[in-house]
Amino acid sequence: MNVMPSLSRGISGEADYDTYASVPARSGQPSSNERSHFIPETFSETRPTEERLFSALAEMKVFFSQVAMHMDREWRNRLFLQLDRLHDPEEWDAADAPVEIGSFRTFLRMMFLLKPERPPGLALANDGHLLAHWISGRDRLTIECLSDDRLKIVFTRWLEETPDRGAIMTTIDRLDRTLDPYDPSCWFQAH
Amino acid sequence: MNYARPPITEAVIEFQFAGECGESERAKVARKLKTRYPVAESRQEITFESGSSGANQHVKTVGLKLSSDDRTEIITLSDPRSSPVGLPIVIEKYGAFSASQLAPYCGWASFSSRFAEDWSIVEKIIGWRKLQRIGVRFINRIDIPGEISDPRRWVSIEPALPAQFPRPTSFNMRTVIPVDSAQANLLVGTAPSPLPRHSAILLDIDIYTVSSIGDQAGERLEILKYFHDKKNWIFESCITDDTRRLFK
Repeated sequence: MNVMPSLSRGISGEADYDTYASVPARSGQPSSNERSHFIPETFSETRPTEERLFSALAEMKVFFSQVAMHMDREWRNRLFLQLDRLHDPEEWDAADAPVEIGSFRTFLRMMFLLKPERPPGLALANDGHLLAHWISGRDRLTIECLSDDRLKIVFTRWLEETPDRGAIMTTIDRLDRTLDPYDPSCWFQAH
Repeated sequence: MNYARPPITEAVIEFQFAGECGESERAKVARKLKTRYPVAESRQEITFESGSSGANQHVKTVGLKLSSDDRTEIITLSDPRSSPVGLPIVIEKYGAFSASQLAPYCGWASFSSRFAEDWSIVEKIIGWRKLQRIGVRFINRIDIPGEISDPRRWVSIEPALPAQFPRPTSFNMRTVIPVDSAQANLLVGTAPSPLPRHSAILLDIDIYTVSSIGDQAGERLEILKYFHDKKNWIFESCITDDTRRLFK
């Protein structure tokens, strides 16, 4: 009988939580605390921009896979396309920062809570923050996703021919309460 | 049972074999499978040696990882590795070929046939290998709304504690269960969930054998199918009806 049986090596690191750190050799995973790293083969040291974009996209897509079972497949395909376009090396300005994983995490968690019928357009702000925006006629909503579930919201909402404009810092937990007075269905519901 | 939203975060099939694969063979595998897996990464091992004459650095490529564009379909081809500092510790005794499917899980029929197709291509390139170990592993993360006040509501196993202890709110357990001539590693534990306002329980089931592995492709695939059926049996035995409702 094996006292310390081996386990198949995996990729996602899903079971890499600290709680399992002492378990040696799982199926599909390196068998000790040591970790080796995979390096993109297509890049050389002279292409740092491509490598940065590649790593950022890979990290986001792997993170998405952790919650993919809770997300709509069609939206997933659309989102990946949007992210690929945002990180197109041909269009990339070397001074820009790719989407930071903390911002992407906040974005996904926000989307899980919001479950909007209309998916947002995406853009990239400074410091690698992802911007999600919804436009419905004159009504505009832009949410900048910061790390640690923090959000920066800017909106214009026309109610009875008078625009309300606002800029608010909040968190994903309080987003519904923050937007509630402005009837956010105009942005989130399919027309 | 088929679920609309299976909690599988990663499924793995792995063949371990004796011997190494050359760098040229790995490159050939990458070329051959480029259509399905356009993203190629190499696994490198870097060793530092220092002595009176100075320090030396050695870089050795020890594995290949190929991924689909969306990074959910992955294969790896790795060499065996031993401790680089001369200690008698074996890190990975055998070479290995593995296929992983990250969520969303596409079902066993599709996953196992992808593995079989890819392995037949790899085997043509690296040559027939005697298998030392076959394993099928499914990592499930059950996302539970709110806090877990009583784990028994979600899983049928938990640590047996003295009666005077309060019920545990978090735990981690690892058990090895004989499955005929094979073994199942079962890891169960509470864990953080990536979803807001949720907790999670991990159910990691790895069934493998190191004996009675046939030499023919058909026999090996039969073993995989058998392991998959056993994995389902273990999974269903470990969860409750409340948990099943979460996947529908």
